[in-house]
Amino acid sequence: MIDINAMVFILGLGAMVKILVCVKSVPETESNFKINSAGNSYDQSGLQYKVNEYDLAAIEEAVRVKEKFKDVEITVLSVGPARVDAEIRKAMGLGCERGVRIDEPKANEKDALEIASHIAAWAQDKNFDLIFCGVMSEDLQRCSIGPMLAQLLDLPCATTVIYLSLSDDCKKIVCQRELEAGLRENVELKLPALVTIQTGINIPRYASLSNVLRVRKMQIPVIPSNTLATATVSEGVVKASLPERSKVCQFLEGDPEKVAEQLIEKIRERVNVGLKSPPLMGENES
Amino acid sequence: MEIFVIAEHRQGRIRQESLELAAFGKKLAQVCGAKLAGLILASPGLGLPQKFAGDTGMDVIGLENDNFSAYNAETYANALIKFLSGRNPAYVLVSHTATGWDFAPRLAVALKGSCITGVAKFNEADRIFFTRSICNGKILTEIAPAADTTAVLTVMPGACKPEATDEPGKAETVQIKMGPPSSRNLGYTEAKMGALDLSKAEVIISAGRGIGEVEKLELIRRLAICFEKSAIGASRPVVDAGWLPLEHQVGQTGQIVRPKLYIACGISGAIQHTAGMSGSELIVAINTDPNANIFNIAQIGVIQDLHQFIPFLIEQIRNINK
Repeated sequence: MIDINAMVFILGLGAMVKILVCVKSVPETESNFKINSAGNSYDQSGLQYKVNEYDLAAIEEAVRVKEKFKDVEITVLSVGPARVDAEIRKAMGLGCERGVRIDEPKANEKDALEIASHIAAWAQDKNFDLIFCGVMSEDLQRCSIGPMLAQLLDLPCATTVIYLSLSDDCKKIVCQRELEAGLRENVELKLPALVTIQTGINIPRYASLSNVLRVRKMQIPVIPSNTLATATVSEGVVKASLPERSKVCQFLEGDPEKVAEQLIEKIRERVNVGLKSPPLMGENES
Repeated sequence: MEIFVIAEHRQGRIRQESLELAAFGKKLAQVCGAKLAGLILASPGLGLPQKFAGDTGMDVIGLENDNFSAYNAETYANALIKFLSGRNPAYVLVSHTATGWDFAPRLAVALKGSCITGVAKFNEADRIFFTRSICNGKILTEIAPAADTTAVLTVMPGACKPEATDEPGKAETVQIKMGPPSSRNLGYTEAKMGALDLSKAEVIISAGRGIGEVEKLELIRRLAICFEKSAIGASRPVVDAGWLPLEHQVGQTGQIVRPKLYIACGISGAIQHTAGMSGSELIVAINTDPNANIFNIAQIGVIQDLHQFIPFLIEQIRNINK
């Protein structure tokens, strides 16, 4: 008996590797957040948005797989309102062939399972070999969508991946998961599989101007979320609030020179640390 | 009503986070009047269920299979699904670690339950709410799990202090039948950490994304040499960008430090970072963003542009030493 897969491989007719990268549009970290009128999340208006950094690393990793294996097609997907097309387009400019948006105006107020179930419903008949997600979103920080999506699609999954290597026959992937204090766990998954990417796995590239121009007018198909199966909503944010300004933190205010003086005084009052005079060289920066 | 606390172990030892989780479980069980038990997946013969019961005073059930010697997402999720499906516990508690968030969401989906991750604490009102922070600690949210379903919670390391116990709990074991998983564990690797042991430093000057560019590290270095027994720390984005090697990273995935003085320069205060330095004796934060979470951790806050401010600080130290 001849193994058909082996034969395809020997003849060099290996099928295309299909990668799905799930990305999220998130506000800039330094944003000044306000509570929304429903009182259950942050107010989304008036903020600057960007591609979630973990997802940026996931896009880069997918593009690197494509550069190595050539016959690779990358689809980028995001769930959200029309404005997230900007982030989908950014991913396309970085090397994802196609983009898809699942339209969900209130994506940020939905629980992780609902978002994961939309993605699963859309992806289940698309035969992706690899699904990449960021390990978490910078805003909601749930770390949940990836493993939930894997469960819904019945795929093996490795989270917090800091190194990955796809086997030459594109049937297995070896991942290094980042644990604590520099310890990493190595795990091998059979494809199809889902991997959540940790930052630090790569340094994401910038899009070239020619790519940005090329994707500027490309269509991004929109799939209404109400045409996709939805898993039941299971938990709800009851209340969102701004934390009270710390009662512990004493703020030193005024002009920088005075504050510097006060700060050194406070430090010497409170802890016994040795001070030494800094060298004079190169001190002319201020 | 039942609550299960799932223990993590590695290389034959129960993780500190699991002891903290047991303490969280005890408090929650008290408030809801629930029955509390530990669960540990282990290979037979390691004595881990007895150890966990001894350390926590909780009754512990060991789920045993020859394939449970090391963590594997698939076996963990499947074994727990098997064990928990018919029982409908109110809560399943998992640590919010790279291991915990690897399997907890899968488990929640399979149990058709709620999944609340990164829980810092719970509050009791007419029902029980769980608090978690979003947007790097700038917003707190309170979440209520759906009624009458299992809630799988991942709890932040450090949320509760482990409690000493006089009386060990009872340990029993249950054999779980299961084939080998399709994913293979290939062992552990230590990332190259270099020789820098931050835990020995008395003063740590730490750089965050807010320093803006790699050239600005020079300023941090110059401040560091103004202190005896000092070292340079970094938050994750600085290491990710390749500005400093991993050995400088402070936080959950880097080093845990408790120096006499920790000066956080341009660090927003993500929970993964603060988990590694909140035990410092004195924390000073310098940041231009007055809403940065680091000011909720620090004892002294300076809302200044560090590029302008640090040279004054260095000058001040020079004046003192004249």
